[in-house]
Amino acid sequence: MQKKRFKIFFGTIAVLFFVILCKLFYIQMIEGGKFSGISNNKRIRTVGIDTLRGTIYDRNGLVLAVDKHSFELTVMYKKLFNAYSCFNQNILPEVSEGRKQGKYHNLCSGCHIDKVMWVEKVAELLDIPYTDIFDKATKIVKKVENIKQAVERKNKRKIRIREETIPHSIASHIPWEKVAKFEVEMLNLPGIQIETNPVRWYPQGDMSSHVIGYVGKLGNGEIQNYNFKKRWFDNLKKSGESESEFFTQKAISMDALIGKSGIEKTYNSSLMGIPGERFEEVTLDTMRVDKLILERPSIPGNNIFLTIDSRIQGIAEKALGNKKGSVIVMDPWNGEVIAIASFPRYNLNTLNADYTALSKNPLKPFLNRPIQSVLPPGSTFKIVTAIAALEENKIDENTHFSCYGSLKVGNIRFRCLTKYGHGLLNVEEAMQYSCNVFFFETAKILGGKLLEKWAKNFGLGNTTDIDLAYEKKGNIPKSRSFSQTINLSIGQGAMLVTPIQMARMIATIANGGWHTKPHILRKISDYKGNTLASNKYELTEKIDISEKNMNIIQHSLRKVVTSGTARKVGLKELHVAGKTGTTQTARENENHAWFVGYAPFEKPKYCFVVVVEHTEGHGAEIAGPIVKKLLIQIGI
Amino acid sequence: MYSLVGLRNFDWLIFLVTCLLLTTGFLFVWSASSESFAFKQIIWIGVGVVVFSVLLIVDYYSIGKISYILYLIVLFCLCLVLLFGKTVYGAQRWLMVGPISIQPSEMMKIVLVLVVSRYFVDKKSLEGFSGVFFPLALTLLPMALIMKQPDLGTSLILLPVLFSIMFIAGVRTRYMITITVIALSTIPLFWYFVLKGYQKARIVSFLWPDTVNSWGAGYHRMQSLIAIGSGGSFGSGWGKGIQSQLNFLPQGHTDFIFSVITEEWGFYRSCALLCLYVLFLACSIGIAVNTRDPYGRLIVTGFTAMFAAQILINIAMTIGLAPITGLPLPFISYGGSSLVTSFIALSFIFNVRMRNKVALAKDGFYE
Repeated sequence: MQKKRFKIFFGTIAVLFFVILCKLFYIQMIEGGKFSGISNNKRIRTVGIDTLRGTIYDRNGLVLAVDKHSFELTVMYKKLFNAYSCFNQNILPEVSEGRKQGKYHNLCSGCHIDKVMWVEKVAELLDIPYTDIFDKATKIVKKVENIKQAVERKNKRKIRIREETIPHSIASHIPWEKVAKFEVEMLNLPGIQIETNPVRWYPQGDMSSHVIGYVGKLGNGEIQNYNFKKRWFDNLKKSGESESEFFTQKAISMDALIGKSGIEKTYNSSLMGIPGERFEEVTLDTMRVDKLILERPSIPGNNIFLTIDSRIQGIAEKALGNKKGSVIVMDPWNGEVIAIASFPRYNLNTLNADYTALSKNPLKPFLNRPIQSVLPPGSTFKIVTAIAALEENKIDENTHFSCYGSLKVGNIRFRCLTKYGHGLLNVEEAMQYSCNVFFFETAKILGGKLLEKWAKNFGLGNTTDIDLAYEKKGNIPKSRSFSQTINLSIGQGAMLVTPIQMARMIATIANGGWHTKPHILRKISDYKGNTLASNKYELTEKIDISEKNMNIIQHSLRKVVTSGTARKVGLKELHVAGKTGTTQTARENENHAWFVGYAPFEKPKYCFVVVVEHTEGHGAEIAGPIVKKLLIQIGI
Repeated sequence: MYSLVGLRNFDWLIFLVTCLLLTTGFLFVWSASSESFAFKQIIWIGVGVVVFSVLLIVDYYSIGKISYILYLIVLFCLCLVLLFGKTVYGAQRWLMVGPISIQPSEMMKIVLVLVVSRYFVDKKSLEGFSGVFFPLALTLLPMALIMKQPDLGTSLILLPVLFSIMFIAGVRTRYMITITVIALSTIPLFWYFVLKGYQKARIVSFLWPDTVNSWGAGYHRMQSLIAIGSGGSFGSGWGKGIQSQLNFLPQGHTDFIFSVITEEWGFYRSCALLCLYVLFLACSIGIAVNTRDPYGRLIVTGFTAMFAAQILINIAMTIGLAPITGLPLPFISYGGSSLVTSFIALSFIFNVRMRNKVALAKDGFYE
């Protein structure tokens, strides 16, 4: 029985193989002509369909960056090549001259006339001299020939490269009226097409340019490192289209625009759409499209909503004026950055033209100062010193130190602000008048280790992980000597922080000790408007600071404004609490002026940091008025 | 049991056929993708040969003795995959063990053959319907797990394997027909509860090619048919296929490698390739017929059925006779785990052939 069953078993397999053989014979030998026709005489051409990059909105829905369509005139390579060869043989002027005068020209029998006629037509429609078109054609042909030669050299055989079969752009940014004219003439101009091309446009000009960032093509080095696949799977998970998995490699072409800085970079994968593809059957000699075989539509990128409020951002930028520095306004309760201004800025719309001038500018306009400029915090760091000393029980609210204008440690004399000293004062008064000596004495008891620990508690000297690219880290140095500790206690020396770190620090004071994470993303929604992700940050982690000590600090910060270093600025009526800071730089008469604070002090709504770098005046004189302007216009 | 005495029974014909298949595979992996893939393919072939040789030393009977334990281990791995597996191309198929990724579903094919054969050999009588249930359960459990990954192709391979072992073991035809009828009647349930959207789209595009316009569903089929059709009788020559070289054909070096072969080699040479496969299968069935050991016979049958099913389904898919499922072509498609699995199965076939004469003799009989 088993022998019989083995025969049946093998028989089944053999029959199935025979069926396959028959089908193969049918496809290859009988229907073969049909299919080889498709792949030999007619070539299937893939044309990428551009997709739109997502739009960036501010928190009120005002558009900050959007892809705008621009019209582009494209011409088939074959036509360009004809024009180029005619132009090189110098027969063109005669031909066109002849046609203009209505004479039949014998010189180059009909065909040449037809081959370059499109140039005249296009030149007429575009209203530009036809030599421009020839120049363009020459440029394109030379470029393509170069690529072709390189490819052929590499493969050691004749190859038809993709660039030869696709249309090339010869004019862009064509205005509407001309496009309409072209549409009418299109039938007489085979091989010439108007295509739309997305261009990034920034309606707000130079407002919040650092936050938005700019886009550009991938550099040579980046192409190799760019993780094409990762991005693809991000989208795959959301849309669940497993079928598209095979087009991974094509998801980003070489000349796709990639975010290079700011939000455009951080959320590049969300903003980028998936380009579509169109498969067309073309006849090889005329390059005319015979049939559209398949079209995979493109999927536009996701839209991003920022926490930035354009109104307040505008106010902040105006208040900062043309002083080099930064202004940050943040919600202390959830870390939403409402305004983040930096000066000098650049205009995103004209960035390409301005690029060389900007990169040579000594003020470094490309630096996003709120997150990238590292500065010593100066007196504003005294808040941390005070909290550290209070919390570690080294001092309490009744501890008094006397200030005689300076303190001598070893051979070095550390000076206070006033020559004659502040006399006897406690921690509140010391903060109020920003007395250095009080904090020197405190640092003596506190020691460098604890100071460093508390600075780190507040996240100073460490990135805030804000969702902007290239954030700087700063530095909290390890104190090695006693005099170094004394310097650190008033935020001088090697201590370096970024303004956004200070914003996080003051937010922690304003909200009563909760850690916040500054962020700029509010939500991401897809092109249909469905929210994909929203960024809701909740206060979960608390720094262990007793309520009593927190009260002392908050009150002393208020007193700074009412009767302390910033009393003359007029912030009292605006319910501000804050701390001024003036940091000496290496150069004489150049300070960094700081003001960190929050308002209203009873129930903080905003916390803010203002820094003016390399200025002559003091914290209160320079940064104070900026805060005043800012808060008056925001309306507290 | 670790004697090499059987080497004189080494089957050189199958060995030669396999070498030819591997060479073809290497050439077309190169043609369809790149040198680096071809080089990796060589490395995998090397790994496969090592596994093959090592398994040849061990007596298949002693592996058969622990087949239930192996089965449980692989089943456990399948569960682990669903929990911790690595997701690639939207399917969770790989288990990461340090730097190596293992595909337990491939191992399952091997172990299932061993365990079901074991069952039928141990079973004294095959009378009664109840005897069929246990092997059926042994198959359906891993099938369900693999289908969950989702990997429809691999899970469906297990069915012909089971059926052919049952058939050769002598289960009554009546029972097998009954099972088939029951299985067919559950198809609607599958359609509504198990199959994913893209799988349905593939089936619809296979049954009614004209109705499908949506992107992707009909794309593979069409590109593959154009590739095969444009091959004609002699093909466009190695490395000159328009469809495959210009990347119209997706997955040219893995699942659709047969389309590349037919496009570049033409009808006659692809026929020769099919003949090689038939020869391979015929030889291994010959081994099953000639061996005296019932266990050996059943496992060779099982592995032959596994190869046959993979070859037939893969080729039928490329020429438009079956819906698209991701199954590799044995010994030809690029891919480490499928190559190694094929080598393991091949090793068992050789093993049976080499030991069939000494099956009844005691160890050391020849010494």
